[in-house]
Amino acid sequence: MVKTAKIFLWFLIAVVCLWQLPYIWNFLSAKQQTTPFVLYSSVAGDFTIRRSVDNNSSWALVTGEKLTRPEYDSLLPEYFAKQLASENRLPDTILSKPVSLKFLTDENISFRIKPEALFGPSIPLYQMLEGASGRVDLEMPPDVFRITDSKMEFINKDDNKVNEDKSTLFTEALKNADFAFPAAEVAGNPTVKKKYDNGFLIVDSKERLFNLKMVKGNPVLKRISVPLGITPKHCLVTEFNGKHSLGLFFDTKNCLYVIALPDNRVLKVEIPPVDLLEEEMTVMGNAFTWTIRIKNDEKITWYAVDSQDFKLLKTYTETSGESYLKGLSFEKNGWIDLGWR
Amino acid sequence: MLYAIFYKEWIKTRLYYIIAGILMIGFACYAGLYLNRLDDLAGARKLWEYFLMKNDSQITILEFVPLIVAIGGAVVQFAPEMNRKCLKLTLHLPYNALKTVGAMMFYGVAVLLLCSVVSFSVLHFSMSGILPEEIRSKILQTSVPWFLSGICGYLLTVWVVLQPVWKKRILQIILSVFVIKMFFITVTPGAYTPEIWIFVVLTLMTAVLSVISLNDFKEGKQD
Repeated sequence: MVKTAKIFLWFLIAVVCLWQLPYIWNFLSAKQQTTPFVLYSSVAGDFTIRRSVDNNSSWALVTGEKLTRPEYDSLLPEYFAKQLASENRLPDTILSKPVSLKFLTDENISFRIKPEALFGPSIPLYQMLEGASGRVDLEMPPDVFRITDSKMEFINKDDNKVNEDKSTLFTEALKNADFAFPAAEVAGNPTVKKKYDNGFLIVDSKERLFNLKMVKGNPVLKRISVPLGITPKHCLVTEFNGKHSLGLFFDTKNCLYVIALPDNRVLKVEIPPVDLLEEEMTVMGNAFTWTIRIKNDEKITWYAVDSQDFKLLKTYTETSGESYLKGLSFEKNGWIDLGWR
Repeated sequence: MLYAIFYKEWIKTRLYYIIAGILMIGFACYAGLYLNRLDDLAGARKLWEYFLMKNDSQITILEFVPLIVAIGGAVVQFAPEMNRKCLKLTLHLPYNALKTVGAMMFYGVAVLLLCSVVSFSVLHFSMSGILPEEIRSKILQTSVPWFLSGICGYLLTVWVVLQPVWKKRILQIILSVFVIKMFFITVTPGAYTPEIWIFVVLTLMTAVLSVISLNDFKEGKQD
């Protein structure tokens, strides 16, 4: 018994050392990281870089050519439209397309996808906003819904009871569209901090993709036609001001696709598969291009893609410069997940 | 013999455990009442939206209560035994020393488990009318590692208190702090659930550590 106890004691000591010593080392040896801010310039046809070291910024093209701040602004008129307009330097056309301040600012998008947002702990209850309430501002709904093995169920927040009529209405709509219960993925943006509502993207148990909205209290369900060989897995609903897309999804091979409006065409974003468990994706887009940043422990890669057909235009990579000692870790993507990282 | 040990432990610790038990259950009642008051004052809609969007449990007031109660319980139960040298007498009883101390620890764990189960049930029932099953279960899952940390903290404290050598005792306290820290890495609702079995095994295994201290005590090791 004493021997067992001593073995366990040494095991505990080893676990604590493997957990805490790398942490202490990384904590003490950490240095300030200056990640460059990289954006693709449609005007220059190349990436621009802004670096900040000790509060001093420098601007350049990836070719090494140094830029002044005004030059940098003028190479990125989509992002610095307001600044250029205030200096009367906003161009009338970009890539031969007539532009205005409103057009440029409306078309700008930015979003980030972190592994914990996709894989972290969450509560499988969803809030469906009314898409056509007649009010300018969206309002949070008085109920939440869950999708069970056989139905869609709405529960009133006020009395914690199932709204049978609404549940039957939506369940019937799903059954009529040949939806196979339960849902494998349900994605939406339950917030009023957006201008309109695109509802939910739902993957059924037969891996088919649906878009479900609520319009004047009634379900509006559309099946999204996905090209053969593509199996949607993780979805994101987009509600950008430009209204060019319904959402994005990653397939089972981690390739990224955009569901383009108005005809719900599925377009492949021509970037390599994203390791969603390990990599963080940030997108900054405008009327002409999207700059997609993929960051992992080793490197950061920026991809410039055309914002109409999502063909790859250019790629730029830098090593992330974050070196750290690996150790025993208890947490990953919001979960307690014991591992060596 | 076992009954006599349990009775002796009850006589020794009853005042503490009655007060600490009421305190622990009281905190669970307060956490439940707090959720109900939020439901009344902010409205059910705001409360549900908060849980669905913020990934928070709103019961963090309970977080360290089981641990504090358990550490106190172990000290109240075993510190007098060490100070008054009563343990030496207990170990001279015509009964296996390991079984004697094991029975004492079993008593402590059983009382703490009882307090934890009652507190957990109070929390569960206080939410049942106002929150749906999915949110309720996430909030309850958040509290599981906290209650488990109480049991683990009790067993580690017994290990520390029984250790007669101060130098070793300090090292044991340092190690125990890190082991307990493992139960408080995140308060994200449900984060511990998939791997909670690791912490159950860890808690069960910490019971064997007291054998080392007991062995040192029996061998008469001192500073």
